[in-house]
Amino acid sequence: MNKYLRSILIATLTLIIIVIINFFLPRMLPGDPVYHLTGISEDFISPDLYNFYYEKLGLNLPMHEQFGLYLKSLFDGTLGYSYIHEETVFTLIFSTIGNTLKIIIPSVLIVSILAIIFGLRNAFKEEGNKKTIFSYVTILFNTVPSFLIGMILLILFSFVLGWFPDNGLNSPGATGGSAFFDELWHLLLPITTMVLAMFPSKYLLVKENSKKILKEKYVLFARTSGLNKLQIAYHYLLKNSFHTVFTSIAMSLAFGIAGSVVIENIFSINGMGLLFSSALNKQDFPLLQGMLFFVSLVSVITLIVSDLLILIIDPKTRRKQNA
Amino acid sequence: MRKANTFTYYLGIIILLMFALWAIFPSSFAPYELKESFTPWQGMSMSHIFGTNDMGYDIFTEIVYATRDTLIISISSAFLTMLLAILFANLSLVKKFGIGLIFDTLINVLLNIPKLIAILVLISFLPRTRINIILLISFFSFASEAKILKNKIINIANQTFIEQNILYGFNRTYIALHSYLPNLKNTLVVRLLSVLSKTIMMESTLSFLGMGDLYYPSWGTMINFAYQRGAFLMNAYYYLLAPGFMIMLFCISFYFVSERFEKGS
Repeated sequence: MNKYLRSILIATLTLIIIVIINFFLPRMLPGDPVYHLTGISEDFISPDLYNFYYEKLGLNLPMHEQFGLYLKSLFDGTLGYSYIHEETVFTLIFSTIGNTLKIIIPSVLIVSILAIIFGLRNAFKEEGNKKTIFSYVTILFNTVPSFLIGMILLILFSFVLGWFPDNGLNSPGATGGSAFFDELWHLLLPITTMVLAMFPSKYLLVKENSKKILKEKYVLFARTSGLNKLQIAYHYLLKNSFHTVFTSIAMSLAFGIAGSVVIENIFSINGMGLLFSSALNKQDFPLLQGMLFFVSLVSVITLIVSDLLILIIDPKTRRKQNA
Repeated sequence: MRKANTFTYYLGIIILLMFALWAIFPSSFAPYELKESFTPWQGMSMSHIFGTNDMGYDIFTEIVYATRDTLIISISSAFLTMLLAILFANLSLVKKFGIGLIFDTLINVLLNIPKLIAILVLISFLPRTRINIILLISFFSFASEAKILKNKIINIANQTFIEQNILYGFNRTYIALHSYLPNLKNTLVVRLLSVLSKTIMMESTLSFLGMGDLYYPSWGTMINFAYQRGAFLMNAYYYLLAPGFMIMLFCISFYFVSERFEKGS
C-alpha cells in the first residue's frame, strides 16, 4: 500500500502546486494586477470600474485573505469567472467538453486496441532483432508533428478530394436520425488525426515491452510446451506488460486534451481546445487559469483511478506493495 | 541490416549538416533576398521552389532564414533540458537529509502536469521572448528524461562490477568516470537526440498556436502565418506544408543518427 499512497500524495501535491501557481502568477507579475486578473486592459476600463474591480477582486486585502478568497472560489463550483466571455469558467468548460470527449474517447479506444494488436503481433515477428517495415514506417510517423498530420488529412480528403467536410460538427439542416451519421462523418477526420498522432508511441511501447518478455525463460518453456502464439500473447505478454501499457493509456486520456487544442484549431470544432485557443488569443486570463486547474484535476484523478485499477487487476503490484 | 544502418546514419548527418549550414549562412543558400517581393501566391515552380506567400516573398527563402531561429530555440532547450535532467537525476539519488526524496517528488510532480497547457498558460502571462520560450520548454520537458536517467543509473549501480570497484577501493570519482560514464554514454546520446525532436515539436506547436516569438519567425510561426493569411482559401497548400515538411525532415535525421547509438542504451 505504501507506493500507492505515495502516488496519491504526489498527485495531490501536483494539484496544490498548480493552485499556488495559479494564485501567485497574476499577482506577482510586473504590470497591472487588475489586467492580469480580469483580462480587461487599462485602455478599455474607466477609473471607477477599475476601482470597483480592485475592491471586488480583493486586491487591497492582505495576501493570506486573498488566498482564502481564491480557495473559496475554487470550491464553490464556478472555477472563476471570465470577464471577456461573461460566463463562469465552469459553464464554458461544461458546454464545450462534450465535443472534445467525442474526439478523445474514440481515439484512445482505437489507439489502445490497435497498438496492443499490432504491438503483440510484431513482437513475435521481430524476435531476432529484425525490424519489420511496419515498425520502420511507424517510427518515421512518430517524427511528423500532429498538426501536420491534421493539415495533410484536411487538405487531401477535404479540399482536394471533397470526401469529408472541413469544419464544425454538424452540417446545417441535418436533423433526427441522420444527424448522428452526419456528426460521425464530421468526426472521422479529427479522430483519424488523433489516432495517427498517438498510435506510434503506444505501439512502440507495447512492442518493446513484449520483446523483453519474450526473451524470458518461462516464455521459452511455454512455447516448447505447445502453447500457441495467441495464448502466449495474452497470458504472458499482455498480462506482464499490463502495468506500463495501462498507465500510458490513462495518461493519454489526460494529455489528449492538449492534443485536442491543435486538432480542434485545424478542424474548427467547438470543443475545449478551441475554447483554450480563443482564450489565448483574447488574453482571457481567468479562463486560462481555470482550464489549467481543470486539466490538472482531470490528469490527477485519472492517475489515481488508473493506479487503483492496476492495483485491483494486477496481483503482482499488490504483492510488491506488501513486500 | 548493417549496410542500411550506415546509409541512413550518414544520410541523417548530411541532412543535419545542411540545416546547420542554412542556419549559419542563410544568405548563401537562399535563392533570393529575405523581403524581396514577387507576385503573391505563386505555386511551386522552377524559379520558386515552394512558391510565394501572400506578400510575394519566396517561401523557400523564408524557410532558410527561419532555420536559424528554429534551431536556436530547439537546440538550447534540448541542452538545457538534458542538463537539468542530469542534475535532477543525480540529486534524486542522494541519500542524505532526504534531499533525494525532495528531488524525486519534484520530478514526479512535474510529470503529472500537462505540458502543453501549462506552457501555454504561463507564456500568455509572460513576455514572449525567445529566452522565456526556451526556459519554459526546458522546465516542463526535463522531468521525463530525469526519470529515465535515474532508472538507468540505478540499473548500473546494481551491477556487480560497481560493487567490485568499491571493494577494490577506488574512490567515487574514479568509479563515476570509468564505470558509470561509459555505460551512460549511449543512453545520453539517444536521449539527447530524442529530446531534440521533442523540443522542436513543442516549439512548433507553440508557434502554430500563435505563442511563438513573432519577431524571429520559426517554421512553426510560418505555418501559423499561412493559416491566418488565408492559405487554405487560396489553395496554397505548399505554404502550409513546406515548413512542416522541414520539421519532419529535421526529426527524421535525428532518428537516423540515434539509430547508431541504440545498442548500448
